[in-house]
Amino acid sequence: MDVITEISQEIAYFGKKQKKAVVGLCIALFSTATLITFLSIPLGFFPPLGDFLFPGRGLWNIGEEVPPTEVIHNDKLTSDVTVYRDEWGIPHIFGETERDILFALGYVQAQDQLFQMDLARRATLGQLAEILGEDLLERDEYTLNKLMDYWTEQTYQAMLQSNNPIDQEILTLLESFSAGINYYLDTTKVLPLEFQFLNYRPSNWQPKDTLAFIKYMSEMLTWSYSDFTNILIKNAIGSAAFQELFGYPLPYQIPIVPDFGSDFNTSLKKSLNTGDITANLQSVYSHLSADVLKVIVKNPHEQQFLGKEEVQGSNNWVASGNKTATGKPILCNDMHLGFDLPGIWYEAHLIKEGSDWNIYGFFLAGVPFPIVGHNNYVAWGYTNTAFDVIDWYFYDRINETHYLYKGKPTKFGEISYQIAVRGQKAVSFTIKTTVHGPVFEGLVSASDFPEYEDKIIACQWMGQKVTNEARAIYLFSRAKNRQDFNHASEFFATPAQNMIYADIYGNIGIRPTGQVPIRNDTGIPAWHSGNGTMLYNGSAGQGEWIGFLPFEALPHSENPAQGYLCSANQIVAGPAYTKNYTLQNPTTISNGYRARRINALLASGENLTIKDMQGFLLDVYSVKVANVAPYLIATLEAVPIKTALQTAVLAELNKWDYQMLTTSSAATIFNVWFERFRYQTFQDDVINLGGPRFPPNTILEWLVKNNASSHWFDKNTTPQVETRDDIILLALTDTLEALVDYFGTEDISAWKWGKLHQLKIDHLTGLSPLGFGPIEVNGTGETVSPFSGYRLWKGDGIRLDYSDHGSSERMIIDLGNMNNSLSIIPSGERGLTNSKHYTDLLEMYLKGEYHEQFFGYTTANSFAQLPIESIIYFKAGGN
Amino acid sequence: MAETMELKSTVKIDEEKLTRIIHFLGAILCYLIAVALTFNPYWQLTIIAGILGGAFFLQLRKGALVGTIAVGLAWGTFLLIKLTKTNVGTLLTQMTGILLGNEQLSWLIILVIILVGALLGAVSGVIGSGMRLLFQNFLEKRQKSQQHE
Repeated sequence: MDVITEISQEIAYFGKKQKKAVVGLCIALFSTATLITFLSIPLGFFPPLGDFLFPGRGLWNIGEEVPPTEVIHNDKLTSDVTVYRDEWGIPHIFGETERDILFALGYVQAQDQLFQMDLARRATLGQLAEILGEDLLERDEYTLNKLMDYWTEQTYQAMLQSNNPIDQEILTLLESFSAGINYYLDTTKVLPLEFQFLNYRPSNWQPKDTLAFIKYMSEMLTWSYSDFTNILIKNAIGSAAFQELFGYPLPYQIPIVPDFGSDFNTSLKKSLNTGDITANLQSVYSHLSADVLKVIVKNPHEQQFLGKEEVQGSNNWVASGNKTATGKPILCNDMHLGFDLPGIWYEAHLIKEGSDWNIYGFFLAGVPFPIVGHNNYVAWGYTNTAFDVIDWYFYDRINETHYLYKGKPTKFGEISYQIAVRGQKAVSFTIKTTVHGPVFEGLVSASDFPEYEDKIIACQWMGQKVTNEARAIYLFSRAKNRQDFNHASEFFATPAQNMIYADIYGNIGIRPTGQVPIRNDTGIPAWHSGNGTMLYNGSAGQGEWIGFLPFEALPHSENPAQGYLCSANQIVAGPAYTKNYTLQNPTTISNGYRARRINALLASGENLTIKDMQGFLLDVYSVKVANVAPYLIATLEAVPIKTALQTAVLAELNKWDYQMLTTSSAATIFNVWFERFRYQTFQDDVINLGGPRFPPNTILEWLVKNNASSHWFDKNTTPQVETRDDIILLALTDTLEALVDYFGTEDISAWKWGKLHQLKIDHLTGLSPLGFGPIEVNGTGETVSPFSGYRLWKGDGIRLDYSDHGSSERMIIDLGNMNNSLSIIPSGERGLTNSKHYTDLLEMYLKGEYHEQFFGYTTANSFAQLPIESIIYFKAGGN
Repeated sequence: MAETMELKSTVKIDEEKLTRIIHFLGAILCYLIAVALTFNPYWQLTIIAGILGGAFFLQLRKGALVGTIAVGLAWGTFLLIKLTKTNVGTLLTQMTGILLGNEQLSWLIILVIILVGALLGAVSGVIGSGMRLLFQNFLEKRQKSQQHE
């Protein structure tokens, strides 16, 4: 009798006990299988909970820090490299060849910032849906539509085919850097939390991924929809009013380059607007612009590019030896970007022992050359120029394959992609292109304007070209003098930056650097502002790019008599420079408050020291307040019978020193009042008529000081004629009511600015437990030390809106002794969320502290004497 | 006769004592195997500990009990070692915030992990003792039928 038959017969004759056992066993087997299955499969967005939370893997294996000592052998190395991480986890890399040093840099960047690197390349190359699912498909499609992936590939191919030995050397270095990253990927068994949570492993790094960062920064700093907003503003208020409120030049601008004068004719013309503001624009321009903006405001990623009213830029300045205590220049830079954790910058120090190749800088994790920093000879920093390098066009579509261009049917180009999407099949996506650039099919919905069903929109952008920024940043790091630096600058096309410079010989200089297109404005309508500032009729051939402003024609200044230079995203040059309007769109440059303050500090400064510069970088004195508050105070003082609250407010404002401190009630009162004052002045005359943004704050400042009876103060919703003082008081009434309501008290000592001005830093994934804050911070969006990106008033009252934008790094370089140089970043060096270096530098930053760069420690032996977190010995194969 | 009865009673007491010792050893073995398995990346293998532990018992409920306690304790031991020797607590707090929306509830996550471990131990202990029961019964019947033959 076989065993199975035997068992079957046995079961048939089972007693009660055995039957119970069988039932129990079956239930246990089923329960075990169900439990294990349930905990081993992903549940929606969450990874398999068992794999993530249970002992032996997932969360429990994620390392918090790097090993204290590592010895790495690799055949790709030709010589040994030693990496010391200092007490803040910043790597100081000592080697014999640049290739080997960059291999090590790739390895440590991957150790510290792998998720950030992977996410940044995915965001640029349209690969987010692959890890985050269908919700990010639309974002990927839009990103691919900008052609950043396409032009990164074109740039890479151009470098591969280039005969320029610098390009070949750069490619070799990028290969070495990529090899270092990939060595880390190949050898690390446990990836950081984000990869565990999202349940994926990043693909290997390629040189193209590094080149993508150029497009990443270009998009961040130059992508814009201001061509549409300018149309809508002009359509709303008319050409004369547009010139008065938004036109060139804005008042109180202190040019970056002082060599072309500074006395702009800013007398604002009396507006010819007598109430007739009906559009003399062709409706196709305004209707298409309105359609486009309707789509953009609903796009979570794209809405950040809509006319930011206070341009988030950066500061840089340099004081010459005539103004410093040491007799040599001191250079400072703080670049203003969005805050994230991990932060965007990675500090590193690279040294070729026994040579003068010694570089300290701020790197993008994923890029092996510093973006700003210094070597033994020169120091440099950037601020955004706000050059207008993107133009939008509309066309008449003939059919699916052709559009009209200069009277002729013209075939669309096509670029196709397969977009990988987590959890489903890849999605096909095809981009049509015109002679200018990519068509954005979804931007014209024609739901409100069916007569424009046949219209399409495309753009032309500096990021959609083969450019040579890699050459520029490679050469910056080895420049030894101004000539070298200028030569390198010629290759820097986008994103255009005001590049400040200083060297150990005592030279200082500044040049707004980048490629700016020259447009052919023949045939544009009379109302069109031209110069790429408004939507063009592409089918009619308007706005063609016919060349670029030559490098030599860009304004620049060298060793000016004033003894200092500074840029804070303001106008690049004075009235004697005739190409200002070619370079910049007045609606996108900074209103100039930071520039005014920095200029004042430097102009009055004598024997300036590093300590002075530390103070300047943290300065929160408000130039806006200093210029406008006296009028608010005077108006309130003139009120014959004041309430107790008004009396208290007046007393508070009168004793205020205009510092935007978290402890200041006056700062709260003024900031809310100003926002309300601007609203009461311009809401009826601009926003309610269809203008999508307010004029710059300096326009209001000018009106306050120079034209108390300006018609802008008269509300068109009331029969009486209001003046400046009426609106000041109206705004103050709104303000005080709202503040009492928000704080729940009339005791103004409770109205601390820190209760309304707070910083919150999100993690790159948006998962709030991995972020930081909120925390009270000094300053505003317009102080030298800025925190911006918030609005105080929403709907009927005040709301707490966190700041998410400000100084992404602070750097002070002493050209008299580079060893004195200091820096700080508002994050940490390591992107591992449980590392002590995740936010240690952020906490120093918030206290206004800086750390040493240890630039003078140029031998491995000397560095070994310092407090060190870890050491990595990279050994060339076989050593 | 009295001596035989006494001998039988003594043997029976010794058998009971031996059984208790075996059960105790089974529980210890289950715990030790479960602890060892926490350091391997496949948490699913924990059921091996429960099955082996349960196999020392002929009653399902005792198999379940030993699996529950041993595996639950083993996972608790692992968590204690990790939380005291590393800063994984920071990660746990962050993950609690993500999963439950409240970073203060990390104790709940720890409790759930231990309870799930205990549950796995329970069901695998039942498997162990159930299999032992059936196999033993099968063997006994086979022996009896061979003896009759």
